[in-house]
Amino acid sequence: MAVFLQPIYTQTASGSVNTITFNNIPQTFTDFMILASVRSTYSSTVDYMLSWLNGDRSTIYSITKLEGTGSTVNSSRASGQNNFDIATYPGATATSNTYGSVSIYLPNYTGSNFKSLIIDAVSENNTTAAYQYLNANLYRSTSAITSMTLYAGNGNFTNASTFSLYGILRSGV
Amino acid sequence: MSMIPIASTVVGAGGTATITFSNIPSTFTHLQLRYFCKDTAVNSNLYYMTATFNSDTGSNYSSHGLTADGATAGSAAQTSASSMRIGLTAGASLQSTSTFVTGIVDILDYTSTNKNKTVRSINGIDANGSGWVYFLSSLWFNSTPAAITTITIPAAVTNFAQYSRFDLYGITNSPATGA
Repeated sequence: MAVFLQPIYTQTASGSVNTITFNNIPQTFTDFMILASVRSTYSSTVDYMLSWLNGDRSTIYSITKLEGTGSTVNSSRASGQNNFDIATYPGATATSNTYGSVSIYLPNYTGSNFKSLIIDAVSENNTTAAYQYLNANLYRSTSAITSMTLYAGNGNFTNASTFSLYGILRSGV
Repeated sequence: MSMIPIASTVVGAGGTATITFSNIPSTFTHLQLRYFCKDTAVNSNLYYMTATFNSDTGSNYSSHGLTADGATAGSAAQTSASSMRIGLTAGASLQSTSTFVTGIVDILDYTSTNKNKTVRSINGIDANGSGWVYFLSSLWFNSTPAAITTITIPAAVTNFAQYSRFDLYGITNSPATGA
């Protein structure tokens, strides 16, 4: 029976950690998705979230980005990185009680091809400057993905930041 | 399965001026709105689609966006507005009879009383020679964050046309942490 967005794990940050890791990701789905509602303790309007897979910090990550800032549009590319860039998200001096919204989609995460991720994320603020990201990412490993780590950047994830991992199963399985 | 249909509206003959989802249950973690629509206004203009939460029409919304028309990309912002932008719609002259705007709107942690509501929207239309794509963020902020119980989407100009459809889904969470 096909399953769409089957909840696997949910974590809520404590306010004193700068990483959230999903370990032992079940290998019984086809794709996975993470939805995250996030804010940083960093004393700035923004912080910048990173991520890596399987605890791997070798320089086999690359990214192509499209970014909106509320006044400009930017596109860039980077390769030979030891992590994914996820997104800019609200820091401690952003509009109060305001959290970034992040969607991470990784298809065929158990397969033996390189892993391609698509990320869309927004960071809001009641000012002209706020951010929208569309990122395409590549992890040049043929290993199945069993863990994913999300890193807060300069600060910690605040204590109401939430991270939800979902499994998606294709038809016929 | 964790993505559950909550409510759906299909516009009939004669059109509808406003789409409203009310009494949204608080039993989910996130909401997703999917829509397929056009305005009945007969012109060649583009308009922002807007929405409000809980009938709040105070200056409690901000929106920012990435926009593109196949030739030019742009960025836009509005602050302290009386509604949020969730996408674009076009006058009927810009769309063929069978061409509609499509979009997806995500609202995470919609029941939280600790968080203002951040909205992530993608939206676009291709009209076989013209087209637009929008990626928008919006914020509903007020002095005391509230759970969303109502979503109101007015037609940008006149009415939503027949066959326009709006579907609201609830998404649940898992109690397991996987830490």
